[in-house]
Amino acid sequence: MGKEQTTIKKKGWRRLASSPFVLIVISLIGVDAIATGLVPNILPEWYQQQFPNPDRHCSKAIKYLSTNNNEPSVVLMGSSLMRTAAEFSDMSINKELRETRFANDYDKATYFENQLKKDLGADINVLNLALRGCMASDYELIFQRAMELGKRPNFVVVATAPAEFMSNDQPLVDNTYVHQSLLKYKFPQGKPFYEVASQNIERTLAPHSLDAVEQFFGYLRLLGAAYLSDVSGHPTDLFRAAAYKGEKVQMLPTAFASKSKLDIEDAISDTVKKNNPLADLSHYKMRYYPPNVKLYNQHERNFGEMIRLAHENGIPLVVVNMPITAPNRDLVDPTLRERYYSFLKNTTEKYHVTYIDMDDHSLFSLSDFEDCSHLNGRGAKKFFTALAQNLVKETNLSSIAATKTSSAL
Amino acid sequence: MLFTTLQYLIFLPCVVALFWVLPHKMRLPMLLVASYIFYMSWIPQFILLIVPMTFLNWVWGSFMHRHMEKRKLLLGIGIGLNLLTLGIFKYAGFAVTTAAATVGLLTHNNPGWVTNIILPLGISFFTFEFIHYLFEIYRGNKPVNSFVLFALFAAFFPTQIAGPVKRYPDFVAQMLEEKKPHLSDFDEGVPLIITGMAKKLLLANNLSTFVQMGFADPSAYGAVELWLFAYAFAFQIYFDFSAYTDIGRGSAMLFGYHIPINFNLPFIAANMADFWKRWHISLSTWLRDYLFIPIGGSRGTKLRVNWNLFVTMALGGLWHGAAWNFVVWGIYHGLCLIVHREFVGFKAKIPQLQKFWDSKVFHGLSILLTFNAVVVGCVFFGMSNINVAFNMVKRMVLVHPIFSSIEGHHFLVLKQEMPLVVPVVVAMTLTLLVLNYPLGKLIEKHAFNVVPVPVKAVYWSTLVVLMITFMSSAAQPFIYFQF
Repeated sequence: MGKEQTTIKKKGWRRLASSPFVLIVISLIGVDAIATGLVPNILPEWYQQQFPNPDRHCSKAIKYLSTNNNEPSVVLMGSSLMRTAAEFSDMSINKELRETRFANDYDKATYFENQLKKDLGADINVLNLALRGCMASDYELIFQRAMELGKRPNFVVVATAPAEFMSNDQPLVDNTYVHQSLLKYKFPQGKPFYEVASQNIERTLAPHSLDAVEQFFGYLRLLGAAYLSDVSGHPTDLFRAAAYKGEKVQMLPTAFASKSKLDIEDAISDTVKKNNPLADLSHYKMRYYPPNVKLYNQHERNFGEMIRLAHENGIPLVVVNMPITAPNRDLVDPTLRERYYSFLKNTTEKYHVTYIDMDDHSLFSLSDFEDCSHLNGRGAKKFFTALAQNLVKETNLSSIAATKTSSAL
Repeated sequence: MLFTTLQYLIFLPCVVALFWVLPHKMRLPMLLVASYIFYMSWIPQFILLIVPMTFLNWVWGSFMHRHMEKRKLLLGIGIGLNLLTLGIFKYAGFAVTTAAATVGLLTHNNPGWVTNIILPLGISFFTFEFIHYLFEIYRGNKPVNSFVLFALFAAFFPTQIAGPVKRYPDFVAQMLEEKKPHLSDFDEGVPLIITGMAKKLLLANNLSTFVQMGFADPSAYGAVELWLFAYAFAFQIYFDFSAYTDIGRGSAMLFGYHIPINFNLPFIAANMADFWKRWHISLSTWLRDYLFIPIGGSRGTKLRVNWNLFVTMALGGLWHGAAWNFVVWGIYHGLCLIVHREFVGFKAKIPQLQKFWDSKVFHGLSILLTFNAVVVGCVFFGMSNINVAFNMVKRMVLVHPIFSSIEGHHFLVLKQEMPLVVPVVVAMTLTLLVLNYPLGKLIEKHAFNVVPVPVKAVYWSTLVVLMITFMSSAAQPFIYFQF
């Protein structure tokens, strides 16, 4: 009581210095100044890595939507599967890319472009809008925004894979980071100003992915999982991945368990062993299980809507099923996997859209992959070579390219 | 507009700033308009319920005051009208479905509009406040002359949706004071808001994910895991509800108003009677003053008093929600209170054992027993299917089977396939269990008062940073909003 009275009697700056409210405000301003002012200047790279711009993965799509540049011959849409393929295949052409690997703003696919030029015998340019973490519904959102903004792409290639329809680690369709990033181009109609304002502040304030924090907990989790797991009984855990590096065959994924040691040795090259492309299978297991039918339905509906939109607007669209490794494909819930394939086939048929299934076992082996889903440089080149040939053979891209070339002349 | 959203964090400073820049006469009308805007941000149409109800009770209170000779009848009518409104909006669907299920009534002609009535937010709270008002007029207190003041009593946005259930003499007296902004109000209010937000965003929301997993199918888990889920749920509802109260009290302090506390470390209660003096204090005192005492209270035979306790708690349970699980929860607490009451009587008759009962060992055991009894009750509170709840309690109490039925001799919650939140929440629950008593005692003894203010400020700032870091993108409503 006596202490309280003393506090009340304090005047001026002494009173302010003993006020929790004032001190909280000061310390939060201090944290903010350090976190957003000092640290980004002193440690720019670290800061970008730890507190990345929420729109960073989406910036090239936003740039495409918000500018009125001439439409490219081909717009390439996809997730990291397409993005890394474009980057890996271009590394031999673009030396800078090798240094700044996984550049968010990289919107080229030069290797693919060159293949198309060669096969078509015409000048053609490709805009690579593949975004990391892009989900099936996001393609529809980007496509829809493009239509709303009066854009008319000449030719669109959308590459997808099962994970883009059913990843448990991703939010529902209206909360993906692409969706959140694109919100600013269309405020919710009829919502009060404070809701829109708060939404924007939330987007700015939310750290989105504090990589250090996530990595720390991810590491703890993996350690815990490894500790608790029965190594041989869980082919997709951390121990298995580690053991795989040590060439312990019995710890290989179930897809290979039935094969003999020699078969496996033959199937997997030394390079693959070294790089251990299946090390991230456990991550995909978490993504696919338990099967999230609700999420799948949402993505299927939105992706179907994009195909319908393209058909209605007369935009030439090609749907490509991306190659992934067999163990990854085997992890997908069989029912949803079947639904996925038949959905792509039936919907593209219904709207007379070309569908190219590039998940070709005979074309790609494990040695073509960087990890269990992303192609490496060799695989990416194979992929784009085959894709360019298929596009020339199965679509009217040649006529579009010819029209574009003649109009340019 | 949830307290834990950025919308509220924009709304609150705007209203606080406006409140302090306006002259005293304008403040209360402004606060009323702000409170109605806050209310309408949920479902705007319900303004058509709260305003007429407020007006009716205000007029009725004045009318009663002028006709004190008929006050009993007028009180009965007033309470009846309030309960009728509450009954229609909250209990009609429950009554129809119960009737349909028990005697086959309306099975083939179920009036959908009855079962589809949406519960207006905060109706249970402001109805109880209206009944309290009428009771106080009946007891000879003066009515509120200003409609704005009375309307603000019912609609004051920091307490509008989930209480505490206010008492009008205290509230009105504070409202009539011409206030000046004091830094001390912000010194108390802002840390309370931060603490409340941290309880909700860091603790309750994370615990909720884990609890939902367990309560969705308790038959899949063994006794140890079920106890863990029940403990987690007990902590969740405590943090959830006390978070709301903290944010509400903190928000009110920014206007210079002091709302009474609603929770006082309930999980270190030494017995059930003590628990109800610490848990949802505004409701338990309301039930005592306007239900338990009017129906007889502690007067009469032992059987009669126990019956009064039983009825009060069963109705108190029903107040929480129009579902049988809440009634069972209320009855369970009523029975626990009766057992405690009988035990106290029994204890007094055996002086030889009094020494043991007064010992620290017994006190510790008593706290442990009370806490676990409350946790068992929480199962009924959180699970709408009574049969499933009883089965869960049976497994918990019999400690059988110990392990999960699916995984044999393993704990399902420790499986590697579980999302990250599960091991984190398991660790969080265990930590809370360990810290519950020592931390509670330290808080009770105001041990943290000696901590220097700058250290406290750093602690609260850290909480803010943690909240921004870990807050979920999807806002989760407070549990007590459904009541």
